[in-house]
Amino acid sequence: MALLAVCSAATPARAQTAPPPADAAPAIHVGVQLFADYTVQQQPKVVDADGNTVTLNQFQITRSYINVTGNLSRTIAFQITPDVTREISVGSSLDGSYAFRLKYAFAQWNLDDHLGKGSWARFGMQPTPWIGFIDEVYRYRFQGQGFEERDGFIFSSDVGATFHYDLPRDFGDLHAGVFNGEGYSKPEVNDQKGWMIRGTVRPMAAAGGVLHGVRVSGFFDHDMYVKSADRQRAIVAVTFQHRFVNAAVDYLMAKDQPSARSTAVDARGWSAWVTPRTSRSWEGLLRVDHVQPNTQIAAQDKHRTIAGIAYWFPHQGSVSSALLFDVDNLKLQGFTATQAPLQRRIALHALVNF
Amino acid sequence: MIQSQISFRRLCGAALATALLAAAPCAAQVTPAAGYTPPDDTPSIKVGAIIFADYTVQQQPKIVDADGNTVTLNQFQIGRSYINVTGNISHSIAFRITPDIARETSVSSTLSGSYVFRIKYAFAQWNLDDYMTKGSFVRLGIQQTPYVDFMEGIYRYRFQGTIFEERESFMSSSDAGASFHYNLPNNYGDIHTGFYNGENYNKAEVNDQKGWMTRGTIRPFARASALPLRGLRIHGFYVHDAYVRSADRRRGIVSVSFEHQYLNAAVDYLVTTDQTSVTKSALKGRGWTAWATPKARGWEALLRFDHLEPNKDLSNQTRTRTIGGVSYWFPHQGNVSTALLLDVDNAKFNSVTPAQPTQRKIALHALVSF
Repeated sequence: MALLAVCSAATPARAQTAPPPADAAPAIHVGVQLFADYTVQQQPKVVDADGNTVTLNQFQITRSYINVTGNLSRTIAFQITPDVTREISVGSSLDGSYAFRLKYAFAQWNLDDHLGKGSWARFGMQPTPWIGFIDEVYRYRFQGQGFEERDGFIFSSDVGATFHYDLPRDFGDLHAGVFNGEGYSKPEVNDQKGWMIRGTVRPMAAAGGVLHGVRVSGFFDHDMYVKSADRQRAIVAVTFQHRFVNAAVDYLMAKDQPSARSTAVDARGWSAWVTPRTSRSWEGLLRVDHVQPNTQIAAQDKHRTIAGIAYWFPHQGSVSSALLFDVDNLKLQGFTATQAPLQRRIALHALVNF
Repeated sequence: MIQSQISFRRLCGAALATALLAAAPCAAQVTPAAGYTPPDDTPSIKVGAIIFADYTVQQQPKIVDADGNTVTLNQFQIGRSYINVTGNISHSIAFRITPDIARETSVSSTLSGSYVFRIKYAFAQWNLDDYMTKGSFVRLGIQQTPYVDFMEGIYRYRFQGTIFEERESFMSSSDAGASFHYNLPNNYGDIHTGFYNGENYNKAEVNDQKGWMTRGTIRPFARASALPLRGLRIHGFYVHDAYVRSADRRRGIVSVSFEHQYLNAAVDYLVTTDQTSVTKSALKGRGWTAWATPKARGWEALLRFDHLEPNKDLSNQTRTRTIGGVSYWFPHQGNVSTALLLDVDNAKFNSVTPAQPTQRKIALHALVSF
């Protein structure tokens, strides 16, 4: 149980399996998660070194996790996950390389013996309560981030201490914690901390059939840039999981006040997506995001549409691999002239998850 | 390279069985023929490592230390530190992630001087053994380019330094792209062709140009009765790329290699075209390398000579490199390997601008590969 619970960032369902026996020997496991793509940026065009207007196209790696997970005993587990990021500092001798940096590194105390299966406390760099949860319902992180992360409102990982509790009889779960609030790629700079809590209820847990897959989730992040300068995010979402379709609708409210002397900016947005699938491994991906980054400027908004078709290869066990062909279209209204009003990318994505 | 673990015979059996099942569903009720084993689709993962360590004395040129003394630079270094994570999702889908190190030399970086890990390989691979010959595959991601890694497999002395074409910066061992590999039947050779960013694994794409790379290898005496002749292979390699539109970056290589229990050897001939902009003249270069590694009872020698004319229009401008060394390969079980190499590496520069002195390095190299 300890080891499998640690793997929950990638495959939470594994955490539901039976715990190891009381005399579980220390064990360590290695896994990987790889996102590769070939992307054609149809809009905007770019200007090459010779002054030609051309269509940028490139092969990329957007994720290359090496997951080292393990358990020291049936109650103590850990995970260390380096991931890659492109070094873009022109002063660095590694400019252009995909450099490894820490994404997750935490110790976990499983509380199954005291609070029921699926309860634990974590300390270290770990998935934040919202992104870790919704990415697993969405399953298309290899196309790009979820709505709240892509628009810069929430980080997928941060350093902190959290507690997770599964409600009895599969009626939902609760994940709450205190984080630096700066994300996994920045150090803390002051005394402010981010308090995050996600609560999820499965109202029809007792019902069989289709309605069992409905969950209602609420998330709140109370943080500060500096003293008395709010950084708050609230999300309400309804998700649905079924053998032939996953779907969700999120509504986001955000407040950003970088300094107590500056005016707070309120943002609103929503995202809706659906992934219908056949019994023959083919899936569709349809998604619409809409963000109003400042409610005081009604004419300013971002609108993203994603449409794609994927094939998930059949496999034994919990490994997965898939190919996705998609079009990602972003329209910007009311922004500065330096940002292209239309961004369109056509891509072939590959996923390997072990 | 990740190879499927199953035999061709088994694959044929699997393919035949699949075809029969698809054609006649009722046949699924029939007990499979004795001896048939379905492909092993059990997921598996492995971790390996390659370490290159060395102690190098730079005999020429001398350097000036912080106090103004003229001294002989000598240093311990790590040239490679791969952590290879490889595995199979099924018998037809495999992957590899390999971080390697690079020294951060920027003085402004907080990591200045550190060996930092960065991606060398990260790819997904679809094995096509079920449809083509064993060893056929398609890859997507940051992966080996068709020539360098292949040639290094014959050379075996990458831990001394890169091969000629890479050391002279004409190509890289890894790049992001999509490639296809096919093994000719009866061990007569192979083809590896792909479509890459062309900027190598350590740079981002900047425009619309892509590098098309193809290597073809023929083993003409694959079925010869004289065993030594089977070790002879002929290779052709071509890169068609462009810095920007209509500004060529091309490399062509023809080489002959020989592999035998007591000797590996090769001769390469390289031609290059570099035109960094349509507003500039194309620079044409050419060069060749020859090396041999005679061996006996764990002891080997390394003899290599490189010659490069970076600009054919300036025929007096040349770079030559001579390497001589002796190594010991420790005996091991399985395909792990360790070796020690003592060598002298001498590079001379003739009429190069700006002028460069002769570089002579004497080094003890160590290899660990698991």
